[in-house]
Amino acid sequence: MPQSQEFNFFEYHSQISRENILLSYKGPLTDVLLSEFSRDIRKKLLEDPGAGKKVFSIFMELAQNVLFYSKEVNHFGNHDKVGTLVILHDDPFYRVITGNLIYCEDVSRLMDKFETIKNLDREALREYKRALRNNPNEQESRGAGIGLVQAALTSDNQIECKIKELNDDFAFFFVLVKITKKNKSYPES
Amino acid sequence: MENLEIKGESGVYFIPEVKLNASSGVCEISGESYLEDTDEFYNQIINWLENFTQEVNKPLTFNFKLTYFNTSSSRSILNVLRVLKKYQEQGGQVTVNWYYPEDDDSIAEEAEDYMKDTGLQINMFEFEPED
Repeated sequence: MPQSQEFNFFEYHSQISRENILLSYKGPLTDVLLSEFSRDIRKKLLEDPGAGKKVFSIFMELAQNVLFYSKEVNHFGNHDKVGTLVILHDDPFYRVITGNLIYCEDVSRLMDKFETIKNLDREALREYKRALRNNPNEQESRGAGIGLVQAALTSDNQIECKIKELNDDFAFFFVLVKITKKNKSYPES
Repeated sequence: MENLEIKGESGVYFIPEVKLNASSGVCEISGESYLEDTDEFYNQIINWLENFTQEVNKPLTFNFKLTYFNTSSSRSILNVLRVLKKYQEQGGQVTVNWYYPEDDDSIAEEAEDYMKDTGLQINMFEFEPED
């Protein structure tokens, strides 16, 4: 195995200082943690209510997807799902980023979904969301689709995904959503 | 027939406030909706409405005053509206009022989408949430 790069604490520290991180978490996720995060985000974004509400609702949809679908499981305790949640702000955007492991067999289905979303305008996205919401099969599979479509709608389609296959079984999947700030002076860096 | 009242609460989940009044026929759901078991929660409302349409069979007004709901709740709200539409088709007198927070286009848009999905007339009003 190739030697991994030595961890540079100074670089890590200056990066997390520079990037204006509102939230950064990697580890097991629970409903309790999620509600604590959601309260914290709301408090931090009180000065920018218009965009803050969007950041909040997008974060909730994406974090719930991680909670339901992550294929990485903590073997201690309650077998909680493991994932990564990040919220950054740097003018003129907030950025909500979530990451989790998925099965390689689900990669093409997810890529297709994002390809579909990316090519739809607002009205077509609304139609697509209605079609997913009306589809009982989608409900049984708890298909993550409707949350992603809602995130696309809420962010004016500033959503993208990246997938990196790790081995034959698992891939790392992350979603990045940009939300345009309304109150540009907030939060103070 | 008994009223159904569920106290709203913001803890680990966000439970909306529910007041369904059998004698006045006025029903209201308000607050925020993000639940541990969304289907179970909304089935209480759906079951109450189905009983109301069979036992009471009077005019019914349903006021929605939600300030946040996740996509899972949005699916259940659609099911509530479908019950109201069915009651209307059977001759029931149904009024649906949808209050959306001022400056929140997304919750207003939801009502437009629900009208398309159910064929119900939904009256829309802007309101200022208390928080």
